[in-house]
Amino acid sequence: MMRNAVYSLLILILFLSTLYILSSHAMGSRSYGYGIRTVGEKAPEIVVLERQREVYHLWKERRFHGRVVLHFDTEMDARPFNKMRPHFEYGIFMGVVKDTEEQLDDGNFMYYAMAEGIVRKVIGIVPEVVFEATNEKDTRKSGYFNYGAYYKGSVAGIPRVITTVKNIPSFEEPVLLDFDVKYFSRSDIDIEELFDKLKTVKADLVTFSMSEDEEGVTYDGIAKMRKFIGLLEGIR
Amino acid sequence: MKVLLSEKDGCALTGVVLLALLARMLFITSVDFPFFDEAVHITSAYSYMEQGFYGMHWYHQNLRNILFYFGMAVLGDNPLGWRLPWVLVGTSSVFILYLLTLKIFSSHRVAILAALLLAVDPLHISQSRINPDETMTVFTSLCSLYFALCYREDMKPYYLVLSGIFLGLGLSVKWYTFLTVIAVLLISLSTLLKRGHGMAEIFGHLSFIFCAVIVLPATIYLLTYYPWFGAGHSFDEFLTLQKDKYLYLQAMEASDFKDLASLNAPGVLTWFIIPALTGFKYVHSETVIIIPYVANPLAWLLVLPAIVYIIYRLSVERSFPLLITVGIFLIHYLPLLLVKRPLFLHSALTVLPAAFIAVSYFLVAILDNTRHSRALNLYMIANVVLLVILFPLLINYPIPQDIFNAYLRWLEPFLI
Repeated sequence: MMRNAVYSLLILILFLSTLYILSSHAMGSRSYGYGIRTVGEKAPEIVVLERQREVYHLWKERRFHGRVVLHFDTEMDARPFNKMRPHFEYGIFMGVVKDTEEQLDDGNFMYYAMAEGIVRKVIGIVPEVVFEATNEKDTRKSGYFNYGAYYKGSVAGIPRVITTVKNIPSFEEPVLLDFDVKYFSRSDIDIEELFDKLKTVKADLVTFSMSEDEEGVTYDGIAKMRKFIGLLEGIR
Repeated sequence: MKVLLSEKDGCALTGVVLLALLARMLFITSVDFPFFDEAVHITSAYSYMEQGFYGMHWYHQNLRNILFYFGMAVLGDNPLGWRLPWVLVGTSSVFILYLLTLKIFSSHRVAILAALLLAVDPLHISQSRINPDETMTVFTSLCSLYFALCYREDMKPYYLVLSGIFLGLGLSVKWYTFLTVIAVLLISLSTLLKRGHGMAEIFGHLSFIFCAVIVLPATIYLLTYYPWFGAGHSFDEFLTLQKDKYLYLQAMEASDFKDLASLNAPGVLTWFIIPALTGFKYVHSETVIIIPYVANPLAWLLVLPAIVYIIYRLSVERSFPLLITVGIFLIHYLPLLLVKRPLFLHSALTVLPAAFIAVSYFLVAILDNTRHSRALNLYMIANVVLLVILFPLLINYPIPQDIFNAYLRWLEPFLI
């Protein structure tokens, strides 16, 4: 009986140690930038880029790791995973990851960021009209399941939530805020309302992708985004 | 009670294990590029271990990625590195099945026959060559069951700890190792009935069983997520991932596998009634590689009669060996009948060890007396002959397209 007790104790110690080690390992591997700000008090660093793929390069340059991204876009199509996945053949995946310039594009930059450990969770905010038009059966095949106000699932092992600005969750850590101009082109949200929803969000970097020549981008959308940038810069 | 191995039995066992190794090893490097799911396995291994990122097949578990990575680190990123570890695991399963059967029935004859049936089984051979997941699951299940029975016999705690370690490894390959957890739990709880205990001892015993069979496997399962946690994930996200994996797997429908529909023929209910004869035709650069999904009719068709026979014998006599055999089989087989999503034929591998133990006992009980012992030997030889006949199909040899078209077109109706 004593031997059983010793083994039981050792196993319990191993289990608790494992929980501690994994937790420390996770926390220790996250990497944030300097200048973490709460959006409503003082806007974090703002960077405006030409194309979405440049966001990946910027994040990589800043050596971010294990980050949560709050990503504003219109991508809620039936197969978001395929849209994000690099166009690779089996067997040359390693080449793609190591040689990112060749196949990186605006549709798959987030996948690259996930594959390289920059991003560990994506909260996708889409316009109401896009969210409501989503076909539940198609999203289920992509691994997203309908929870009413959210679609949740994992993409290649990375948790992803897709929702609208009304249901932005709260965050316990600073996030990377990323906006694509297509969001502003499709959404009818007022920028003051958008700012209000983001007031309590902490971030160290806000990126805006202009993508002016992309399909779905409107002059109104560009103007709206510039106005929102101005609003944020006004409180820096 | 220790059962010593005679020289004759030792030679027989060595022969069976060598046969298993040869059947799995020959021509293993004939395909010098990653084929079938190998490319996904290789890339997943690198991305998981180096970035904590799954990529494709994210809904599978992690141990395959870990072992693939270290296998390639030791043997190289080449056909040997991709395949040899699983060949060795598959071969080792044959040996462990011998030990397990011997532990259950204390009969070398039954044990050798069970080991032989697994050694020559076409499905186990082909999967040992290309499918690390099912091959590992069979091996870990066999090991955990063996050590659980050792614990039941000797009551030495380290046996159950070893069983728990293998359960953890099995769960880290495939979730349906959970069925083996149930079997091991029942075996270890039966020790409480076997020996009388006071309340304090019973509590201590139960606590130890809980730690060894539940907590320890859970710990090992968690440890295989070390690279994934290295990507910064929290425990919340870990729990979310488990749920998402489960939901994704449950949401799979037959239409998702329309190109591979034949691989889930004939269906769980008829696995042991209509032995499968199908396969996958992989075409690459003017060569054809056949990946067979073939059942051995000489063994598979005897599984259900053997189980019925054992149940009949149990109704007449109380026998722990018979109970454990039919129990392990039913625990691993019946739940699969309830799975809604399509199951490929290779999922039958988890049931095969118990099935072959049952068949072996059945045949030895029926045939192995003075008059019919030769029939049993002839049966064993027939299985080996069948292996020899099927072997060219099992080795995944790259066949030039023109030769395939000239001489092997008759296989087309069976291939996807």
